Amino acid sequence: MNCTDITALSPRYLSGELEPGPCAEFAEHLKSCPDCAREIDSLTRQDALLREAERSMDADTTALDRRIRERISSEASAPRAMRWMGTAAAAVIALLLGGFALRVLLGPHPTGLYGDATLDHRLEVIDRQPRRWISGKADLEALTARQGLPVTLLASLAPAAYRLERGKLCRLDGRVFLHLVYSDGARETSVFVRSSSDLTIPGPARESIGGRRVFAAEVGEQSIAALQDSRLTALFVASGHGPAAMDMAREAARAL
Amino acid sequence: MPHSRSLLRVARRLTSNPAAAEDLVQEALLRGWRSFHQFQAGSNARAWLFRIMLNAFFAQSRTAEATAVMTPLDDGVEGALAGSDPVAAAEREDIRRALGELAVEHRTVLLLGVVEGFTCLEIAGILSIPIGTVMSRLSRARQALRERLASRASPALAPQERR
Repeated sequence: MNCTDITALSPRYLSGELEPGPCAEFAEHLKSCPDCAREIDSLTRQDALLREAERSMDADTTALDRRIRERISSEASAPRAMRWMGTAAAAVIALLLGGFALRVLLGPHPTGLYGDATLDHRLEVIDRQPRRWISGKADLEALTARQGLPVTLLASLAPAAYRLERGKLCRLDGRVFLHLVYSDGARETSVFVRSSSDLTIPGPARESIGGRRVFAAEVGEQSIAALQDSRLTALFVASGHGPAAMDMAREAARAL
Repeated sequence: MPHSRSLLRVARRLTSNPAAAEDLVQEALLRGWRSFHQFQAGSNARAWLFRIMLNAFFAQSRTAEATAVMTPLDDGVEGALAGSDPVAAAEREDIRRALGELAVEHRTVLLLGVVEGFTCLEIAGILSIPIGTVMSRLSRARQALRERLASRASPALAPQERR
């Protein structure tokens, strides 16, 4: 690497996004070239001063945050917004507002498993955003088997009086899950299942049923429960608060 | 709301006064809410919001008179740092003033890259320009900032001679 390369690559070096190989070569060059070393050092110090100077001027955003929340809430419940979204259900609007808050306004919280699962349920099941679902029984069984799961699981996971409608694969917190949608004719519920226990469920377990740990939480407007044993992890997402998700997890823990 | 603070920090250095900056952040978050169905779950929410805000800012700038605007520096409180080290406080004021005097395209990449910590790749997405353009603009912006500071005779940061 020569001095011209250093000049060309310095923005990506200073931002920390240079790949390990070129980054090591860059650092090597600095060791042997005092001019480049001085230049990069000067830019690094200038960057640090700028960052500190700008961030020391932070303003309080409490009032602004409140105004924004109020504005979004009033838009969400306005008749125009409801027509635009094609539904008159206030509960759906509240869920959308909750989902937006989840993903955007609240920044990185909640993320991970629960955040991804509740968001998928909201976008794909409640909002019915277009997705490639698999519906046929044989196809769903084949999909389940390919995920290393026994096909009897499809019945074991079904809440009482619910029937399996469709399924597909999805990613939660970077890991592949089977997303199953069960319906009782009026409501739909999501069950996400993975054939391993290689991930940590947030929070302490609420109960242990037949050697399976059961967890529960509320994420925005939805309730979520999880079930884990040595062979699998399953998440249950129901709309609205209350025991529904936890009941489903308990039932499944007994049925497995 | 972590993102509103980050957005406001940049908005205050792009717009002409604090009220305009708050309006810009509010507009960005409202537009984000309205176009949320287009947001990819799991992708970079902060970068997405900055993209919305900067699009709104540039659209406003096109309709308004183009001026080298900067937020007045005597608004807002510097905070606990101010009293403890007057030399450092003066240095910070110098660099903030120098930033405010830069062309808006240089100021923007420095705010996004240096202050907010976005990578060149993320800035390219936020501004909808090629990454090569981001890199050369950042280099020129850093150089321009350095020259502004040198012209105010801050010896610690004067440019070094290069062979």
